[in-house]
Amino acid sequence: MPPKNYIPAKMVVYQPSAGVKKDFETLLERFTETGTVRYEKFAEIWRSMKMNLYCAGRQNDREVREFIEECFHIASQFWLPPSSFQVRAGALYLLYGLFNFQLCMPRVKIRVTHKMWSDVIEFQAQAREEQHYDLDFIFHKLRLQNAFYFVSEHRELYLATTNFHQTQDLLVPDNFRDETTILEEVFSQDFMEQLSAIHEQYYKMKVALAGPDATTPDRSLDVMENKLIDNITKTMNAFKERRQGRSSRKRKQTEGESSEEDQEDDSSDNDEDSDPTFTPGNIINTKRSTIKASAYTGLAKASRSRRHRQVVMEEDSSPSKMEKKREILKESDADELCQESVVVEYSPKKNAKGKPVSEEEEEVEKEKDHTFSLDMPCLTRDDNSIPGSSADKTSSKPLSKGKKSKRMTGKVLPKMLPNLEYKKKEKEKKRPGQKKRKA
Amino acid sequence: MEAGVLHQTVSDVISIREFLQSWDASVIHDSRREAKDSADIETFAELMELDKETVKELDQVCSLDHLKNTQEPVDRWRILGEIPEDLNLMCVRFQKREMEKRKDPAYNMIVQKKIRQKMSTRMNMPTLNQTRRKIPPQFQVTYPEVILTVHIHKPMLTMKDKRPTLTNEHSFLVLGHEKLTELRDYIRCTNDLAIPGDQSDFPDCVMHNYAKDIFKSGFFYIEGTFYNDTRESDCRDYSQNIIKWAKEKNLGQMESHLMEECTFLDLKIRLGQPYVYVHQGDCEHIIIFSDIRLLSSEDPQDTREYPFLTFRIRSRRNVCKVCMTRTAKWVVYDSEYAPENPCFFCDQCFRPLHYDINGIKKGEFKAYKYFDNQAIV
Repeated sequence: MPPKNYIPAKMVVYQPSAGVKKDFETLLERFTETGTVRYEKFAEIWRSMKMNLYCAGRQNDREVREFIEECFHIASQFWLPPSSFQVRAGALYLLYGLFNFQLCMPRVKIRVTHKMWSDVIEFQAQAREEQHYDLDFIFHKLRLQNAFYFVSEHRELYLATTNFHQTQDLLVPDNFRDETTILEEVFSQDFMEQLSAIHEQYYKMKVALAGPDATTPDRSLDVMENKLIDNITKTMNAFKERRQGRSSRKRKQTEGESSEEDQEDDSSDNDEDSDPTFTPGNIINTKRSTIKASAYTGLAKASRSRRHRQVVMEEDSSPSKMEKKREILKESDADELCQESVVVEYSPKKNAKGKPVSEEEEEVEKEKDHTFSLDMPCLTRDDNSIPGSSADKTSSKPLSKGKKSKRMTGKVLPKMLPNLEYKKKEKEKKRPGQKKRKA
Repeated sequence: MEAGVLHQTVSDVISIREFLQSWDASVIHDSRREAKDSADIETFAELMELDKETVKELDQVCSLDHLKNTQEPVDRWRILGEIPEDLNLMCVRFQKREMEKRKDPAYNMIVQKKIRQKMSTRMNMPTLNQTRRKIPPQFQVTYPEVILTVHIHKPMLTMKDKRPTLTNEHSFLVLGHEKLTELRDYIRCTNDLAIPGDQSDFPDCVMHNYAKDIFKSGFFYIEGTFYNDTRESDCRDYSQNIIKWAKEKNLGQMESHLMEECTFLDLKIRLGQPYVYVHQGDCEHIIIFSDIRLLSSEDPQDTREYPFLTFRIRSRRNVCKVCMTRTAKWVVYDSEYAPENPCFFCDQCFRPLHYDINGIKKGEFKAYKYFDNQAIV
């Protein structure tokens, strides 16, 4: 059973309101810092943030309309108690701005329920009493513009394809969320406390049964381990450590990979570490690379019938090394090579339906056999055994001319490994005559 | 009985009349007044109980121009199409990323579908022409008035091997003072137009006895109450059997009222809750009320325009299987000339294929008049 708030990443397709709340909060925060409720101050902040272009990039009228409805819904929350007077004033100006700068005809209106309205009227009365004429003026202007719909519910209620209570939580996109496990939810603090209380009472009962002077329970009642709670917490801690260890190891791995292969990637990784606020592209990059890395670390063991073709990890495939390989390949005897080793090319993973597996699915698969990936060797730079990206097909060309390579299926391509190359060279030394057969 | 069938959000029971009465006079005055973008100083002075000089000053201080960065007008379509470089808003940055993602056509398709589903109900907005037309006084809407949004769904397919699907077919705006029968007359269903019986013997003289003229009964079931249509003398009370059945099963108390005597103001409804409209014996349409609000001056002001259609499903029509161009008008069973059974034909293809020159039927088959949902309703 998935946890309550769990939504698979695939389900979250498009959230029009992503980031809106954050924008409004920064705007209102800056407004409260000024310590006044004057419109000029608000206008200054609004201008500096260029809020008048808040609809930018929404592709068509439909999209704008939906987006603005969401904006009004969020903004009107600030307009109501328990917000402070200043925030509410800011929210009124905000609604005024949002309403007038919407790129939508006819204009989307602000939905006001009866309860909201009475709160707002109270607020306006207070503003009038304190002679904040600009507040009063703008409120009246909005009313004259017919900016409000007087409704019974905050939103239209219709069969929800996604539960909107859940989408509310998802204002932060799933990329920025921490992964949670069901174990942590099951063994929550509350649960553990309850369990320990029950266990204690159980133990006391057993002692009481043994006799008035007894300190330990009767041996015949030993059906439960006494350190049950301790053991569970220990296991949980170990589990947490392992998770953290895994993620940190992954990061290490990707950093190692990027520093060697791609300078840009490396810098982006550092960016992510130092500035966790907002770098979507980089986050995706690192995520992808971690997935890739973990996917390529694992190798399936060949069956007994195919033991002569053991699958071997492919080495580094950076362009400079590739050239070297090609040189060696040209020199070496292709036929012999095929007998020695076969490396499976990593074509994109495919699932049962034949569609390429998406990142999320890959991740799920990875989760499933995480014990497997945990056992994988931790890769470091010195080992020089960093998993390569997609295989370079040009390297296989000279081989395809070889007789034995014809037997091979499309996906299985012979590749070389440094240690094999080394062996090869040794063999070549022994049999120098064979060297130029291919050429 | 109907609670918890579908995963959705439902409001509490709302009495529509109470909702209307809860708003005070100033709000109703607001909703009646026409919108003004640049109101004159005097109205403000009156509203705010200030002198004109201060209001003039306020008007300058609170001008929208202070919120603009440049004095140039914003080109709407340019801003919608592309994002300016120097914009640093969070929501816009998310949107930028979203646009990147949408370059993948598969993803884009999912998004567009989602937007279409969500938005289609609100797209057919009443235009200014509709609202500003001269209306004879007897058809003018009277304030205060409530508008309800009703969604009528396709009849549920309750076949054994098929999961029932819920498809919104029409959405209407209805006025609070309207009777339920007015909505009933507007609900368009091809089953109402069906002509019962095999027409293959005399295809030229089709009896124009629509099913709605023969089977006139129907009811709404809303919040534990049946609203039966008994306008015609030969209408049946469908609700009696159901009430009896519900009593045996202990499904709670159910009442029955007359549809023609009940206005929407008399209803007590839950927003988002599926109710049902039944006609033609067993043609069951799920209906959902999604919104209640006060009538505003932007809405159509003519009572004759209500129920106002805001959404209509766009589906493919069934075409003739012979020419594949014209809309099907006949559905034929057990025909030896047809590629499938049953098969659709247009009038022009049906005649030469199934009748000889003298108009005599060739072979044994059954032909029924077919009304395409998209072409006729």
